[in-house]
Amino acid sequence: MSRIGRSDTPARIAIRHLVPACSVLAATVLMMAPLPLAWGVMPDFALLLLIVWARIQPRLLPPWAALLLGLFADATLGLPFGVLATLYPLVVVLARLGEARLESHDLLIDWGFAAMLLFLGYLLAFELLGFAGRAPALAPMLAQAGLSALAYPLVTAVAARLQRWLVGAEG
Amino acid sequence: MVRTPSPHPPRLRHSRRSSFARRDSNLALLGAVLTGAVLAFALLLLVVQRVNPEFGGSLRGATADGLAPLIAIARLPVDVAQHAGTLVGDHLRVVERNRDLERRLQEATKRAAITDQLAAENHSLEQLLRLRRPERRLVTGAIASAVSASGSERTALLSAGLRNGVRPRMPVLAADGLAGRVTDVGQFASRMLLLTDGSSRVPVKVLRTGWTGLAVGNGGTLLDFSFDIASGTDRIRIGDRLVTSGDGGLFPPGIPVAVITDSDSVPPRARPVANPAGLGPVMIEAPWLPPVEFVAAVPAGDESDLPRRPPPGAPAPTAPAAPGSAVAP
Repeated sequence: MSRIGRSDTPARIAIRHLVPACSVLAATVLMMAPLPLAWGVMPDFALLLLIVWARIQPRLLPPWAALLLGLFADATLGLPFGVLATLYPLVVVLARLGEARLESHDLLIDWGFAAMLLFLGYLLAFELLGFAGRAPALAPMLAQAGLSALAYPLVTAVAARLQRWLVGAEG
Repeated sequence: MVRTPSPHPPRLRHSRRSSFARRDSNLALLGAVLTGAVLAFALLLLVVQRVNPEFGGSLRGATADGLAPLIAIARLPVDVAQHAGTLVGDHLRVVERNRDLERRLQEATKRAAITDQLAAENHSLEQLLRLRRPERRLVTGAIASAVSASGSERTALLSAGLRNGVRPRMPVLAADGLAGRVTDVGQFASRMLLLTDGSSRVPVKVLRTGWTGLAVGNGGTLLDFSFDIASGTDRIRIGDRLVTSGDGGLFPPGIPVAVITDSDSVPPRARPVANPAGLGPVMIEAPWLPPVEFVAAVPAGDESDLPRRPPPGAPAPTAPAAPGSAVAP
């Protein structure tokens, strides 16, 4: 991370700033993949990436960027506007607070923290959807939260790969 | 962050620390205010959405437009795999299915003769009664591809949009039965709510008993049939078919919706006859009942051919009665 901020062309700096947000965007579109499955069985890669980026690169993913990402996700998934737009900034803020409190970066602790955020986030999304007049069923949402929690190491690996690319790309 | 006192001159240390501290606290304050504004904005959106559910529908439709081509490409391998799976399954069961079908065909032919007779009789009776049946109007056909990645809603994208005459609320029918209804439309694509979505409610009736109720989605693969028990001697049985009742005026009556698979649970569970995960080609129809526009009209007068009791010999009134005393037909 020490190499970030070295002498770089503005274009590269811009690209570097956009990578976390773009990865969340790509994950949102991936969530629209037409799988012939009856239950929501794909982990919520977008929310997971958001949590991971908010912890390892908080300055590249401020709450207002999370708001824009949430608006895009609302439009893409066909949800009432404001559900994910509220959830994403809140999750980013909570992840930052957690980052400030937790000293070490033990995998299990990080994993547990992310799982807690996921379940809290899904419960909040359930409430917000109900408030917006589209009350969903709770069981599939909790199932997806559990599945997303299981996918945490995978998403961390992807984010770490991206991070290494970010730091090493300019060489 | 608290520093231990250093041996610098007090004036210098004081000024440097305070400037850094002030900058830090200012930045933190600015960040907190910005975060608060962001959250307030998001919550405001949510409130607007609650007051006006149509808000943002066009934007959601436009995203559906953008996603439709991507999904058409992504669907290909899935479609091919599904098709291959169906082919193999068909080959394995072809003989026993053939026997079963032949037996059913014989039964159906016998029944069809009776049904034709009944239909003709029904038609002539309806003519006598001058019963007005609204006609179902097909708007367009489309390909539906279900989106199953999200746990919070069960939706599908349709390959037809505003240009094809699709509007929100329109019922969507698959080959086997009811599939759902349109929620957001784009120019070339639209999004539909599947029956299994947690917020989907379809007025249905049990074909065998005539009981009415709602087929309620629960986000899983099955539907809950919530109904008021109309009889103490009968009960819902496994295999009972649920068809649309036509209540509410949106879905045409008599369209197969689901079959009861679990009659013991409360409420009974039913499996949708149109598999929400593999809809494929669907039809989009106009809402069954045309929208009613009420106009001012003179209330109906007393029936002139009925015997009027109070004064038997009085002449029949020609002017319309007062609204309070009008007899509704």
